[in-house]
Amino acid sequence: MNRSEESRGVRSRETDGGAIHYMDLRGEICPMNWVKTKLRLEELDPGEPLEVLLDEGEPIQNVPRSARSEGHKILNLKREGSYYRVLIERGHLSHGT
Amino acid sequence: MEIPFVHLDNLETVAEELDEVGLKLGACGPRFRVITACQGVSICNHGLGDTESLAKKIDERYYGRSGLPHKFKVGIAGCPNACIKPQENDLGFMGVAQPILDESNGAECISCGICEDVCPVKAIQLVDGKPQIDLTRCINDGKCINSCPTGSLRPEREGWTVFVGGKFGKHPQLGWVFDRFVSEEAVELVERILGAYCRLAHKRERLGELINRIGLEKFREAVQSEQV
Repeated sequence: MNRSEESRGVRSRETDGGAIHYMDLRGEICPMNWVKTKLRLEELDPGEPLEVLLDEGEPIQNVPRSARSEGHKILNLKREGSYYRVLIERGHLSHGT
Repeated sequence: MEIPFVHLDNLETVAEELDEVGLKLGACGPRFRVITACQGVSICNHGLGDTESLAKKIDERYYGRSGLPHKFKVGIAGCPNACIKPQENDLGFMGVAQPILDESNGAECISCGICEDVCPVKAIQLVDGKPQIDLTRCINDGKCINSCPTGSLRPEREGWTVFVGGKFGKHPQLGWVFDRFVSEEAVELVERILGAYCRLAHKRERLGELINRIGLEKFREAVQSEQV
C-alpha cells in the first residue's frame, strides 16, 4: 500500500485476526483528524479495532486522549519515525459522553 | 468592556440598564478589581484547574471592595501556559498537577512513550518501558497526564500555584511564588493576603512594592499570623 493510496482515507485490510479498519490521518489537522476517527469508530461494532496513523505533536497528544474520554480503548501506540501508529478498540457506548 | 462618553447625568440610567442584563460597573481606583480568568479545565484541552469556580468565589466576596491601599488585581490561569498571566497580578493563581504512574483500575501503561515526547522539560524517561518522573525538573503542567492514552498517569497532587506581588505599568515586576498545590484553602488565602496587605502597606503602595520593601519572608509571616 503506498502513501497516496493510504492518504485517500479509509480502507480495511485482512489479517489473521480478521479485518482491521485503517485510516492514514497524517497531514490531517486538529480537530479534523479526531472528527474522522470518531465518525469511523461510530461505524464499527463494539470491540472492533481501528488503526490510525497520526502525526507527532498536537495530533498524537489529542486524538488518543479524545478517543479514551469517549469510551474507546487504546490498545497500542507506537512511534514510527515522525508519526505514530495507534490501535483503538471501539468502545461500548453508542455515542460519546 | 468600556463605554466612552457617558455623561454624568446619564450614569445612573446606564448602570441600571447594565444591571438588567447582569453586568456590573467596573471598579477603578484603590479597589479590588475585576477578576480575570481563562476558561480553564471546562473548555481548554490544557486546563487543569477550575478557574471559573474559583473566580466566581473570589468575585462574590471581594469584587469592588474599597478601603485598600491601592488597586488589587487577581488573575487565574488554568495551567502553566499562564495565558492570563497570573505572575503579572497582585495575586495570581495557576492550576498545576503533579503526575504519578498508577496502573490500578486497569489503566495499564502500554509503554508508548507519549509522556516522554510531550514533556517540555524532559522530566520523564522510559525506564524498562515505564515512565520515570524526575519531580525536581517537573513543572506540573499536566501535559503527560492529559496526553496519556491509557490514563495510567494521573495527578498525585493538584491545586494552584499562588503568586503574589506581580504588577505591570511603568515599573513591571513578576510575582513571587507564595505557595504551591493550594486547593480548598484558596479563598481563605485571599482573605489572609488581603488582610496582611491592608495592615502593612502604605497608602498607594501596591502589594509588590510592599514585598520589595519588607521582603517575602516578612510578608509570609504576616499572612500566616493574619486572623481569618
